[in-house]
Amino acid sequence: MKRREFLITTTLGAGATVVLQGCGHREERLIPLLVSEEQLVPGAQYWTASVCRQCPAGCGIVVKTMLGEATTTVDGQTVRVKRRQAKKIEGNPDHPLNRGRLCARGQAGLQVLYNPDRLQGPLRRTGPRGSDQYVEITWEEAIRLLVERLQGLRQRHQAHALVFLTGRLSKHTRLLVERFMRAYGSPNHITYELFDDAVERRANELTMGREALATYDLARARYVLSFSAPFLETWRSPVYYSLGFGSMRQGRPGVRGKLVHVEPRFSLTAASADEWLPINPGTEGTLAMGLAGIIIEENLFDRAFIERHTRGFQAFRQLAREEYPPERVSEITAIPAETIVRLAREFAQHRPSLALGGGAAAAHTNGLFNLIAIQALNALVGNLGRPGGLSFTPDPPFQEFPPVPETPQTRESLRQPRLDRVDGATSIPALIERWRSGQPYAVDTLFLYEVNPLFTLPPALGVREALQKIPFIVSFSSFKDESAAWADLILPDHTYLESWWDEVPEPGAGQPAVGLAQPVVKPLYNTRLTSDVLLHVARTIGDDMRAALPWERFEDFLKEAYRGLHRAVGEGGDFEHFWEEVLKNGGWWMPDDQRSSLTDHPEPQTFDFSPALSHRRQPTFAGDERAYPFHLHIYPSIAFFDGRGANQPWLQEMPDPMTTVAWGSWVEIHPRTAEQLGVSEGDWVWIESPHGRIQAPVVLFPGARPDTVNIPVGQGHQAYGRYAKDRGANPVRLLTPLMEPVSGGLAWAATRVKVSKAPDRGRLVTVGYTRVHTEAERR
Amino acid sequence: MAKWGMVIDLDRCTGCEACVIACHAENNLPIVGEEESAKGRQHNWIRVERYWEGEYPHIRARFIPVLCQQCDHAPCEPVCPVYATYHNPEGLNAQVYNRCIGTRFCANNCPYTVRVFNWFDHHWEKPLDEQLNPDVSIRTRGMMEKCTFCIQRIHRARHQAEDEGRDIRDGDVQPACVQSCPTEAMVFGDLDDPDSRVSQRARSRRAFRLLEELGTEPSVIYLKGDEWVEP
Ligand code: SF4
Ligand code: SF4
Repeated sequence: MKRREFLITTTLGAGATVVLQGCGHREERLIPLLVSEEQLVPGAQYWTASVCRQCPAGCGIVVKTMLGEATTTVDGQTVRVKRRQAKKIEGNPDHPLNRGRLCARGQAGLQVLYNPDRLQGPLRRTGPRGSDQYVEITWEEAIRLLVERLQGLRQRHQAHALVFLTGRLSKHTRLLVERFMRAYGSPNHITYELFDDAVERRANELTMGREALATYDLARARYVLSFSAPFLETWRSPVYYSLGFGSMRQGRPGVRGKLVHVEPRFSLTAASADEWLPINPGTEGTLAMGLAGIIIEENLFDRAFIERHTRGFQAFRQLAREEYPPERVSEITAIPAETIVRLAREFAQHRPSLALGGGAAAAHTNGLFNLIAIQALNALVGNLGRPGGLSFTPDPPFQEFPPVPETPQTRESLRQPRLDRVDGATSIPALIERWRSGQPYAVDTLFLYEVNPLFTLPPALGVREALQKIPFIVSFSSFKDESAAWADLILPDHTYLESWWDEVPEPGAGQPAVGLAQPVVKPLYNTRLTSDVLLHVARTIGDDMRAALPWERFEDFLKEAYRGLHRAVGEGGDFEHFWEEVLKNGGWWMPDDQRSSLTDHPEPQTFDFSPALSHRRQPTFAGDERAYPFHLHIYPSIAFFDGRGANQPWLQEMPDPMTTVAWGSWVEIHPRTAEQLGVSEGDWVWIESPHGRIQAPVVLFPGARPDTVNIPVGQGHQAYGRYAKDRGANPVRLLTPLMEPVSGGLAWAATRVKVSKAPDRGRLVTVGYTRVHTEAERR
Repeated sequence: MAKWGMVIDLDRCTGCEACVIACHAENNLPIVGEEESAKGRQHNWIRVERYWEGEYPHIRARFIPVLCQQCDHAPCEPVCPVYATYHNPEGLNAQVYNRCIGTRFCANNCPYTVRVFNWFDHHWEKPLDEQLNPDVSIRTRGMMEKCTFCIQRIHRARHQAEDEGRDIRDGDVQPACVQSCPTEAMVFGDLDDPDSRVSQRARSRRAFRLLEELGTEPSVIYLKGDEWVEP
């Protein structure tokens, strides 16, 4: 990638004028705030740096903008206006995470901004909940309603009855929400993601003392053993790992790494592997223990590392030796014993070798054990903090804001129990149950931000009934998704290309980095940045909140944070200059030359093997095996992730790479199993669990286990705009809400189902291509 | 004068389809919807084909991104009665939209089935149309279209190089698919320049071309999937 020229100057003096009147062929970086639309040259393209928000990974992007014509409504009149328009999103070539690359979802981001089903201003519900009757209101009225509600709660000493449920928020947006809740006096900022990371964080904390997500240096590894983590499609940071994968395969002369992928489903990641092992669901940890046993038995482990950097090895060795001989492991996992022995030797002998686990391996009642056992493999080969190994990316040195003090208004309510905690552990089922029961206290007001519980939580939890018990629900969604359609007040956020926000990617790419997003184009509609709404509400509620949140706009808060960063990185010079560089570059990251010294000689880490003993357990499954003969394997769709991409027509029309299905849902069934069930490709079936049933057409899938059916997550919306609504089925509806008990992660891979023929409901759209495959390819 | 070409390394390609969406976004490809998709009328200038090999559990899947191969001996060119499809001096197989009268002879004669016909005029729900790339013309009913190697990007890069009084450098031009590819499976450049990345990769022992035996002389070179051998 050619490095773009950075030519924008601070003022709109001579420099900027020269640039803007340039030939129009140059690719110029532009800070939209500094250059008004009138100054843009028609036909010239300008690039603005931002961050992708289509999944939590946080890839850096640059957006091509040009001056263009649009129709818009002004005072009820349709008029044509010239405005800055976003034309194309590309990876930011300088961002260390994705280095100019993007995944399909990242490419589709413009269809979030220009989606025809965006909410265009604040709405207040007028009919019964779910009736979809709303009236437009002004922002003044919206803020007034919010403030009245929150002030009233506080006066009744019920501040804790405000719950702020969010997805995994970006860096400073999360800090702001946390400050807001603390200053208001509620302990209930609660995060929920369907495909979350609680299990991995806990496993890393128990074994390595780091409650964080690990960075895996695939690019420099020679051997990668992955356990159910679809890291080339949706897991953690798919672009970063795809880059690493490409380099591992063909980036080093004379060295081609090997990927062995263990997963109950033949995923896209499995398809790229040199070897795929369809393991029995939930037994990934058992396989890891079996491999560990052989590595230890045959003395293939890194003795020096074990002695110097680990604890609890003797007991672990004994456990592996006594409980996990290859034959027994083979029986439990369905992987042949010879394969286990061979893999153990290959893994230990082709270092640096990496083991990485996640996805369905973590989504079992024994998910924590699975991940601990998998991490133990990395410790055995001493591959912690080495090139080609596992490490923890350091955070950029932001300085902490002074903590929000308790005040007489907040002291009591802040000490109320958090509604999602049971004995210190997070429990979403407990949260929903408490909403429903009103015990230990009733929830009065619920804020929903970047979360859609009516789509991503199993209905078996009683989510809808629980929401019915909450008197006042506010959604900050940009779209009328299932949960927003249930809200009393919808205060639509800007979309990410119109917003200020930033993200420290986790896992990162080994070097401290933060991506900063600035408004690339002016907001299309009468929406407002949720962070700005919170600041406005805070200062209106009272002086104590204003003291804790003194910023007029979120942009000011961000700027202050970056002042701290500027001081800490000691780049000298004046802050405004630093800030402009950050805006042009799309963030701040440690320069490459300082980076190598950091990642090649990382902090020493110690590894504790003993949690493998204390957390050992077998997976349990919901649904009797005779009544429900199949495992249900759900997975985040490469197009829609957890469903958030389903309103984008590019992604709907994209043929699924494994099945070529477009515009719908499907269930993957092994051809032999389908024959036994008497169904063939395109036939409709019921998939039924102890908690519900859905219908979907069959795809005969040679990579399905005969005892497992696979269904992608993402479709089956009942709202969320014209492209998503009433299309396909949502398999989350089938889940029994079993949990991994220690971390509170949802065990979404632990439900069993039965399958039966259903009446025909329409076609399965597959995009059958004429094939040009030749023998040459196989030579 | 450059000779533009592309190398696609199938040992890196994961089949992720980032290239497919990147192409849609860059080239104003229409969304045809469920009905037309079912009829096989999707507009894709690049598609990712998937092949199954073997039997469970020793199943393998292979992916091949297929786009216009920009053949030197292009079977589509001589059959066009109005010279709408022609060969440009840089080796691109170009399509002149306003000359095309929609006989579809070229598509019939393309062994790679990469040409897409516009059966209809297309419609973008507002404001989705604000995204449309003004560098690429919108095709209307009755026109044939296909991958151009992002010729608009080649033009931009050339103009920029001219402004700066220099030649185009290796890496200046990246078609949208190449640029997005998360595994760096695709490389684009001048095949006449022996030092370009694309020429270097094209010299791989794994290189082959699709349907080579037809003598079409494609400008897209594939590198076949590699095997792991125990060192
Ligand atoms: S992985 Fe894809 S969706 Fe996620 S941040 Fe990166 S480009 Fe966006
Ligand atoms: S973007 Fe790259 S890896 Fe993905 S399908 Fe296209 S060529 Fe293959």
